[in-house]
Amino acid sequence: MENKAPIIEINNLSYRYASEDVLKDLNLTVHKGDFLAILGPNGSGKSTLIKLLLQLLKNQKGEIFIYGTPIEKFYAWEKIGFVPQKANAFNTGFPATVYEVVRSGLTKKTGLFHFYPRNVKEKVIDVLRAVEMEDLINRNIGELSGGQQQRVFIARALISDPEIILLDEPTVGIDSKRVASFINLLERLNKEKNITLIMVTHDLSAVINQVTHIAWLNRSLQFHGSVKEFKNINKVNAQSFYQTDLESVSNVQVNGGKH
Amino acid sequence: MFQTFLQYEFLQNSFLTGMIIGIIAPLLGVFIVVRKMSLIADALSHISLSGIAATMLAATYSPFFAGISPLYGGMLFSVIGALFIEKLRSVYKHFEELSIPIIMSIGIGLGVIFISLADGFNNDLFGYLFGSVSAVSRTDLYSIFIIGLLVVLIIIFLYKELFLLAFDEEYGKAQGIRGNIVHLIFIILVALVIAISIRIVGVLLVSSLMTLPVAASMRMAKSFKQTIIFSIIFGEVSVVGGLISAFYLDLAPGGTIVCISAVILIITILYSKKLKYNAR
Ligand SMILES: Nc1ncnc2c1ncn2[C@@H]1O[C@H](COP(=O)(O)OP(=O)(O)OP(=O)(O)O)[C@@H](O)[C@H]1O
Ligand SMILES: [Mg+2]
Repeated sequence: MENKAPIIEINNLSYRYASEDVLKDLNLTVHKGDFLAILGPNGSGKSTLIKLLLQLLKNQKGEIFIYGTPIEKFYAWEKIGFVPQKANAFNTGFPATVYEVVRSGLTKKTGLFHFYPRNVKEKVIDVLRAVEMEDLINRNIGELSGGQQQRVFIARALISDPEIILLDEPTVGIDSKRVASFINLLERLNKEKNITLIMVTHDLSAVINQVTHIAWLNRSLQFHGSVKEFKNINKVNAQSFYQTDLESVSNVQVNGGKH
Repeated sequence: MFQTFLQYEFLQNSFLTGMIIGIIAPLLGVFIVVRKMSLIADALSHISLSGIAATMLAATYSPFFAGISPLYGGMLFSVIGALFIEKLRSVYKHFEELSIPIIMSIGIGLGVIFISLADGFNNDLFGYLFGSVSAVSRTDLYSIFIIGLLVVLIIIFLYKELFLLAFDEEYGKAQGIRGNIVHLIFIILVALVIAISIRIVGVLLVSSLMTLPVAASMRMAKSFKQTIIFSIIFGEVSVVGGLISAFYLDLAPGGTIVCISAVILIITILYSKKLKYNAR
């Protein structure tokens, strides 16, 4: 399993907004094809880590490599999709259609001063089909339900053919049935298109059968490993993790570790 | 009817200027409104006024400034004001809108000082406050045409980036788009368009030309592209209709232009209500 190419390498990463480290000496390697769930209590630095990986925040201490390139020198951002947390993503009165929103995911790939490619409409339809939203292509984005909007944002991330997608609590506010089909969609992208996924979530039980790896963050990295390793450490060292999450995990049948 | 209207060169100048700003003011206005920065136009128009007043004041002292159209003084102050607004927005990250009243009061303050220093130009000043159909010279028109062309081209070529940053700034930045530079270019364009629109619409009403057509358009449009197209149509109808009626009825053009856009806005509100009712 570890012979796959490392896509993201994080070495001794620390970050602070004020005087206190929010992330402390983080070391983490993500390989191609991993589906990594990042867990941890509120304020444990999960969103901060995602923002650093997107360079929405600049590293202060430590290094991040993407495809072996120091992140400060990495420019191929179209290879990295991002699905933001729904609440702060956009203003619902914005007068744009699903089509326009999804198409805007091609902005970087198309390049400055260039126009969208000729076949942009087919591309939009393709990715909307992948998230089962092609019927709503001409709808106003603000008229959609939260779960539908989230699918549109996935489509926007997919349209630039990313190799990595980062998701920050993408299922907050989505009903449990929808969450299940959303997670299945992510699993399909991970398995069929070999897209590397890194997802922040509070609901481990919803994803434990789909993810391949788990990282447990609480300012510093408490655990990182495959789901199988997680199950083992889990029994031995239960106290170091969240009680509530542990309960839900132990209720879930893990159908063999995935690698 | 149009014959008499177009007989006079000054009317031609105003009319063509009006047609240009009827396109570019609502075009920029769409991006301003969706970014919730509607008040920025008011701040910049007041700063422009102080630039205009400063040029006129300077002209009473030096013949060099007498040869310069106050339009350029207005543009200069407006662009400087725009740069300050961008700077203040980054200083007060969580109170971005604070930059607008700050710049607006500086603009009014400076303007009042310059005006009181030289009270010889009260008549002209009236035209700047409320707009005038007779104020545009041929050389002004040429500058306005070039700026109009520049605005349209830049918006076309930065459309993707402007849309993405307006809709979801964080995603744009995550894609590695240089949001700060795009914003800076955009706000400079806004400053220039406000400065040139003042001649016709007047300081006090210029912001309405950037917002009322957009407000009307958003009631009707189903997409962002349609929002832009309807905004330009409504803006153009208001400006052309307003200038013609201002000339024949001897009214201040700024007022007639704004009143026509207000009527369009009311019609679209009523009409979109009816559409929603029928759709049920
Ligand atoms: N812009 C900011 N300025 C100052 N402190 C911040 C800022 N953003 C986050 N923090 C602090 O950094 C810490 C980590 O925040 P972060 O958003 O990364 O947590 P999180 O793990 O994503 O939490 P949650 O589960 O609530 O989303 C928190 O203590 C928070 O108060
Ligand atoms: Mg968070």
